[in-house]
Amino acid sequence: MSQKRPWHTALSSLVVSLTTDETLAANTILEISANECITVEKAANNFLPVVIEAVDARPIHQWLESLPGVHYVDVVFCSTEIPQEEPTSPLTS
Amino acid sequence: MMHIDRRHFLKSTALAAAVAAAQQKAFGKYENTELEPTLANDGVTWDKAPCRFCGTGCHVRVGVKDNKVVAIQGEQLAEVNKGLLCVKGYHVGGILYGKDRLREPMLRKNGQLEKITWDEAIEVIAKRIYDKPEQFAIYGSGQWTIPEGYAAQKFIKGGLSNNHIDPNARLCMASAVTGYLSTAGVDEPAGCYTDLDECDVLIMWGNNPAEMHPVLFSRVIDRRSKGQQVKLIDIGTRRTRTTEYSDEYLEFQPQSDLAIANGIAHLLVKNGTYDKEFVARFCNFRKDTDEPSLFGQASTFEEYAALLEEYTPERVEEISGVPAQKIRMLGDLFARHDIRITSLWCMGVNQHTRGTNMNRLLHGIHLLSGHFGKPGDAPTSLTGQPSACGTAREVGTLAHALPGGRIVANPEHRADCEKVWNLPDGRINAKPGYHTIKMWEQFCTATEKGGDINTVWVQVTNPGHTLPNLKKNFTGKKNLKDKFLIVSEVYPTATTELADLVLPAAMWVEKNGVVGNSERRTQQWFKMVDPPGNARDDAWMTIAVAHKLFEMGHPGMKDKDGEFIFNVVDASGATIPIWEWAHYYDVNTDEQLFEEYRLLSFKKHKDLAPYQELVKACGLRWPVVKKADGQWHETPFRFMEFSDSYVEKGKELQFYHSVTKDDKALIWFAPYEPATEAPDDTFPTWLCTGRVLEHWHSGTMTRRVPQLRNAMPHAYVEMNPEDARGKGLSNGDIAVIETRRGKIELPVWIDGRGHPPSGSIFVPFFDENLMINNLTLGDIDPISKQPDYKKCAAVVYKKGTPSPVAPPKG
Repeated sequence: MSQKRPWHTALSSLVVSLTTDETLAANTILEISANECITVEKAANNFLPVVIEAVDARPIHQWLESLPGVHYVDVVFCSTEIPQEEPTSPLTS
Repeated sequence: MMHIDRRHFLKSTALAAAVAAAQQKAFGKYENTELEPTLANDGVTWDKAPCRFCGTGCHVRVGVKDNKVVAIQGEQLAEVNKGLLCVKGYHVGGILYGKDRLREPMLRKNGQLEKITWDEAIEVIAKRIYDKPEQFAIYGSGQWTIPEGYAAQKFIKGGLSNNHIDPNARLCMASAVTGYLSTAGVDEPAGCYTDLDECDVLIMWGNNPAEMHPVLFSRVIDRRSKGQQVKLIDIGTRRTRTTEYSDEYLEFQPQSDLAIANGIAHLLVKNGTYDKEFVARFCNFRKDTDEPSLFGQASTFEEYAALLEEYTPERVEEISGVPAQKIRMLGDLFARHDIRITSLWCMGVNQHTRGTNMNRLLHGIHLLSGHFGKPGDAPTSLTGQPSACGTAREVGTLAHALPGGRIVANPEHRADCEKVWNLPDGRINAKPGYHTIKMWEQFCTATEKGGDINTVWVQVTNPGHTLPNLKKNFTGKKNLKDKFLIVSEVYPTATTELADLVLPAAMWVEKNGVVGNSERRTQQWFKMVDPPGNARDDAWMTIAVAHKLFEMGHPGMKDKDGEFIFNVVDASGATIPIWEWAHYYDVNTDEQLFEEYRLLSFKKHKDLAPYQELVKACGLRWPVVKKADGQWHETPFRFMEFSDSYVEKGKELQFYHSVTKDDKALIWFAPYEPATEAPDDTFPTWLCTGRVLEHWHSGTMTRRVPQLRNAMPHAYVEMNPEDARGKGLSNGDIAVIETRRGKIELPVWIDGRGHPPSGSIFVPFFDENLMINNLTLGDIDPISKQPDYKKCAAVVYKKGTPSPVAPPKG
């Protein structure tokens, strides 16, 4: 079952696919830009590049997906420098 | 804490990647055209590799610094993913760095695994094989790279004259293979991912690409974002994330997809709306023999029409639960010639006791309607592993197969391989080996009771978790003292728990590799970082064991000139001892193995590009043909004159490996047949199993990545809200799931990601602590031998209440 735990993602960047409704898309960009955890670049047509850093990325990803002007969210980059927290095993040498 | 300058640099890189991906999506182009490894000004070296996980074949750019993968981005130049990755892909670097990576060979002594040297390990294996080579088996997977699978294939079939080798791909796409073979005479799709960009209608048959192939699904959703019209139809047994994006959702009773496909064909014939010219030019008709067989027997259109007679929309509604008007809607869509239709399927169709037939029927409705042979008109089976196509299907690591579409039963095919491998005539055994389920049944059966497999070497897969009905097919080994299980692995797994010998393996960019994805695309990468401890390449392990047997005098390890079967020489002709780890990378062994294998790729027109051409590309789709311009050209669309060099001029469409030898494909009739186990009074619920977005297969890699593990920490049972309420179960309560094979306790998830209809449940299989495969059925398709994981009968009740299942008498 999905649990809302921090993702500890140091850095990730996404492409947000926006609606073709220009007014709704413009409002959505404004709403996303207002989120202080997100850095927004200039949209290419209705595809908006964004970076999320140093926060729990998952709820932000989910929030982006839930916006009425958003069709889809793709991930394009992730830093792998993350805290490790793995199960251990007696087989580990 | 990451250094601030480096962080700043990575942020710039992340932003640039997103901008480039957005431009790629918006304008379909990307300015940088260099694929060469690049050294950035913070010391991070970037190089290309395909993602380690599914069969989509996305390319990533891997950032490496100080012998460690430090960043991943989608490869902008890759046509498959155009800079995008799914949540698993962008964490793929993390799979290398679980704390419990296996680092040393370990042999079980007095019940405990104890560290040994590689020399000791290789000798143990060689002795097991030398004593009883005919009782030895190799079990691999679609995660083998092509050179790894090829080495294992040559070792066992060419060296030991033993065909007991099978990949876990038997569990995921064997029915796709038999479907393609019995339709077109040769395996693998005609189309490619471009079909997703060109279709007007996308029909997903028991398929959830929004979670399982999200980058491909994103390609389709992008088209809507650009204002294009594409109609999505989800034909499934439960609502999924894919359903949320679909225009139509047709919910069918498990197993009744056969009736739906026949219902479409019935309407095309009855209404006279099938493509008569296409059928006359390019198709013959076929039906099965009394005993199911791969190529069946000839039939006629008239017989086909008569056999379809009973599949009226109303009859199909009775069988499937899909309203008759929806069957008519599908029939009307296939009848239109002004639109293009692509069908997608994966495990829902393939993991099916009639998987071969369901594949045949899907090909059949596309052929009958003429929705074939143009971009966007395609029946396409997706794969779940990075090289299920490349290694299992093309290298032919199946028990009956040989490289390049050959089979062991064909003398000419055996002779081809013996020639390339420089083996004496007759070295390769003509009798197919054991398929996966049979192999494990024989291994888990006592020798004195006929269990004639006594040693299995598992490479790059986890059968202790993924085989169906595990008590019968895997854990039965536990008390059989003369059976010996060797496991090459990267992490401790359910399989290593029963292993007698564990070999630590290198993975992904810790070694060179070549793989083949779902659209016939062969992809290459170079080693970028060292494996941990004493972990080593799987292909090296195979070659080292082969050489030990050579030293011991095993005649099969010599070619007909007396040389070692994996002999590699340098420019002066001197042997390079690649069986010694210190010398394995003195030469690019992958390239050596691949170039030898490539010689076997031409017979069935699966022509692979030279290794050095693959180095320059983000994969090339075979057949790759050198043309008059001196360039190597890939083939996006096979059998189609506008794309495929092997189609004769003027033919337009040519199935040049046709079963009937007349360049035509086969339209099969196959009846609806009930499931082998269906709900009854005692076990009244359908149990379906499958995957989740965050975890890849048995989770051994993705569960080591904290972000993925935390996002989806454990398995669950999806229940219908009314069913749950009727059993006193709420979200988070613990339910007991029981089948005739066993029972398991799982937390209930209601109205979560998936929505099963009343009378059915869904459980994902990724969780090694909650293994649903202790309960699954494992009945197999009679032709492909692929097991059904999608349906069996179960009962669900709240933990703490009595089991409604009466104990067996006696």
